[in-house]
Amino acid sequence: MQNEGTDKQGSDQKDQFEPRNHNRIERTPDSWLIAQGIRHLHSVDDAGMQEYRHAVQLLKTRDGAPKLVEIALREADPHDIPLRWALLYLLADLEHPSADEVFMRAASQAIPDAPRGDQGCTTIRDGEILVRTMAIAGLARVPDTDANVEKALFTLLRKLEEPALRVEIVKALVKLNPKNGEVIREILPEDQRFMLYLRCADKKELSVKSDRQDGKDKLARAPLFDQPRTTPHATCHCEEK
Amino acid sequence: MATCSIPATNPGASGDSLYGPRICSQPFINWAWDAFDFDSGDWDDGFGYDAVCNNNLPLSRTLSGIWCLTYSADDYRNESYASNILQWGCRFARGALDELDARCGNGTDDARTWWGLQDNKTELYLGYFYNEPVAARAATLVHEARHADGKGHDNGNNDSSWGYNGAWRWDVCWLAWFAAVGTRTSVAMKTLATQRANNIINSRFTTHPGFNV
Repeated sequence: MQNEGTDKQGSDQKDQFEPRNHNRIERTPDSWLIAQGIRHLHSVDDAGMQEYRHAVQLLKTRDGAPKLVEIALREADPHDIPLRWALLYLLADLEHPSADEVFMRAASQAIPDAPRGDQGCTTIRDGEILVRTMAIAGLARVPDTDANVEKALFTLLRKLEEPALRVEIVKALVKLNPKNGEVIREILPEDQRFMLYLRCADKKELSVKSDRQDGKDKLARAPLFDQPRTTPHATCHCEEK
Repeated sequence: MATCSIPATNPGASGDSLYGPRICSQPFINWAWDAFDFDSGDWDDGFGYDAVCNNNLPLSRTLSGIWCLTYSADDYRNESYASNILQWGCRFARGALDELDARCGNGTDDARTWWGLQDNKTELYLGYFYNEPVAARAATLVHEARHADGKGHDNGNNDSSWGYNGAWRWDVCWLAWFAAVGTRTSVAMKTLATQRANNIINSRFTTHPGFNV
């Protein structure tokens, strides 16, 4: 967002927030496995990571796993970007030979326009691009015995116009086979051929300089993250009688 | 007054199951509350002031973003501006952001900052709380802090170039460093950060910088 003069001062009035139950995807034993995978997707401890690996191993043995993930994707709230991304991440980890069509459909869905209004730099469109990026990454990981994945990626390259997605497809195709560059060059318009020559940023390019200087600010330091924990105080709104 | 409600959400998928319990500590809450200038009047009425550890509510999700921004560098006590942005991103954000307010927004957009000769503030919306996984929320705080420091976008909601050194570049740099050397997070969260950084590079600069991360 941006500063736009002095007349648009945001919402001076307070807003109100109402609770609602959150999304559940575990209805059958196999969809429970998918839910287990999602539950442990961001685990950092050994036990949690083991749970995630177990869910992946078990789902790999299920022929219908990609279909189940697709059902979960369809039933997910369209605005639940993190869940849709996570389902595709899980499916990518399965490296399931019949997952290509699910990834293909997820990647090729039309990207909805962001709603009108000026309330933020990041819109739902950015989230939708992220979901499709994961679908393309997942597609590139499907075991490609008959060059079906390559064909699917070329189909996506011809179909999708969003440059951010085209870059991901180009990177995947070149990684699969460096000789794909020639065909890609013919498909891309001239002003997008730079996508074939993108390099990996180095540390220097990823540095930014702040105008602020050490020793000038007096900001309180964060507490040690592993210090003894205390739970938050609860306030009682009742009066003693 | 607008009224909104919690959309369908899965704390496991967004990383709130990992970060939510971490923020549920009184010393961290006390510090973050002051450092980022929260006011109870902007976080009550259901936004989480009365249930700070409920990771389905906006306040917990915002604090999770702050936790990720604060502790993702291995040596997080080193906040020197001479090091990379993962080290000092939190320091910069808490120095630049004037106040953080919770609002409904249009339902999907994430945040907006006002600066200059007016009431300086940053409003966080439903898109921030529910569409962005934890690491993206941390990067959004860096992004908004860059605005709060006086740097807007120079081509609509995009930046003209990498050299413009705007909020999108800072967003990308934080995500890239997080993905490369961030700690106390999951492999999946780092993958997401890399993809998000590349999406920004590939769609938010009028002149493409010529690289990905």
